[in-house]
Amino acid sequence: MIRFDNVGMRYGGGPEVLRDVSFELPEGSLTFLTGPSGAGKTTLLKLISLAERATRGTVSMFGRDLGATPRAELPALRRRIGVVFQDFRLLDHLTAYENVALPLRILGRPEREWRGDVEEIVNWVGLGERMHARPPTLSGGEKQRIAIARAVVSRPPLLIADEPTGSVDPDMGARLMRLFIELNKLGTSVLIATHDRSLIETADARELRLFAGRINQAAGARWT
Amino acid sequence: MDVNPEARPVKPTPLFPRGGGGEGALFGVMAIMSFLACLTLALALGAARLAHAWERGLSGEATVQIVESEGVAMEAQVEGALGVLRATPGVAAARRLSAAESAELLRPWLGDVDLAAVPVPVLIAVTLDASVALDSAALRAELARVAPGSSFDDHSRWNEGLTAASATIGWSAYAILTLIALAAAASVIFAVRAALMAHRDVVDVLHRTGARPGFIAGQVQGRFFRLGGEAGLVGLAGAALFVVAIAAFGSTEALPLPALTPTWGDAVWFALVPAAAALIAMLTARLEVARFLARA
Repeated sequence: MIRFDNVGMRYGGGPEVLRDVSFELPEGSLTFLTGPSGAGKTTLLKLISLAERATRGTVSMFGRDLGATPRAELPALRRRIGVVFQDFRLLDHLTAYENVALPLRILGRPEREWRGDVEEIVNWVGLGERMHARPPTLSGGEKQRIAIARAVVSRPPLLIADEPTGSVDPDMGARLMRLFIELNKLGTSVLIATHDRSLIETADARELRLFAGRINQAAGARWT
Repeated sequence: MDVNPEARPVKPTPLFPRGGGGEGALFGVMAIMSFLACLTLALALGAARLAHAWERGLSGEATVQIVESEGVAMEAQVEGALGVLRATPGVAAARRLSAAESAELLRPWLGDVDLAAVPVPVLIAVTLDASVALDSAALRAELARVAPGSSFDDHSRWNEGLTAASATIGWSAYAILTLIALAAAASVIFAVRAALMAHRDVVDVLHRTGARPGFIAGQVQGRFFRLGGEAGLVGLAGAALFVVAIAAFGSTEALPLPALTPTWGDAVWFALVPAAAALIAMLTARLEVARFLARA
């Protein structure tokens, strides 16, 4: 599903944020990405979500070498990846329902085909009552749940989440984690960046540890 | 009655939010550009019509001038010339100007002199039939045979000068229209850039959710298409009011106004101005979004 070989990444002329990163995430895996702040987790997620390109090394996803993939083919690959951003990235002028429906609107499918799916997922994250509220009126936890609903609504084969439970209480965190596990059982590969040890303990999952831009060999090799 | 802020929107909200691109200012600029485009178009159409009118007015008439010639009596020359003219296809009528009419024509140059004392040429006014082509060379040869002192003038030299002058006005007007279109496109580029910068977060989310550049451009271009079209209509209405006001209150006696005043037949061309404004705005927006995303 995802394979990194000696990947390095720097922004402009700055120092390398990621150095010699090599790992492989098999299809259908559930993996936690951990590490202290500034270790490069967000940069690694940007590479995997095709928001940035590696400055060296080889990144392969869905069986394709991204370095050799033409720019015009990237949007189709991005549609196969659901992303939960750390800062949610909801569009404030759209309702919660419309934010969740965004990936489906981009696919160009008519609303009658997906209205039921969107309402179901919004209800599932517990926001059925606030379906048509706009993000500025939602709490942090509500925004996070809408962001998660948007990432999973199109059933992408790969789901990436950056601190997906950072703004919700432990009960909701556990509930969202159950959603991720459920999706993973249905075949979705899931990668979750988190600081939350309790979250990691709820799942029998692999852990990829990042430290100062490198995969921590001692721990990283330990696929728990 | 209060509207529930959390009710389902009647229509899906546009993915690209309104505002942020100085749309009000762009609307004003596009309306003014359309107003100027309408007036310039009126000038171009008027110039073409004026050229046509001049050509028809002048080429509808010709003159034969006959002077004394040795060996042939003046009256014989005149009668011969009239006979030839009336027998020539393309000539509708030929009429000898009376001595009084000739004197009236010469008065601006000679003043009040007794023309009986000077040899004044005889003038024959010829009315041409525009529907039949006139063979000027054959007519000249025939006239020279019966009236050696005759000369035929179909005003073609005048025509050439006037036609060239109106062609110049016409091309200048089209050049101005092109400049107006380019200036309008430049204004749209600034507005699109401002809108994209103001809503960079929206573009980024669409981009990262897998939207193709063409999809994102589609969200932006529709708004600019509408803005351009509406501003074009306002400019057209302004130009129409301007023309009506000039005709009603302006001092236009010295102008060849009948030819320059727009006609109903011009309406099709004026209707193209808002359409052109809408298309320029839409296409420019599409290209600018594509450029923006290529750099992103």
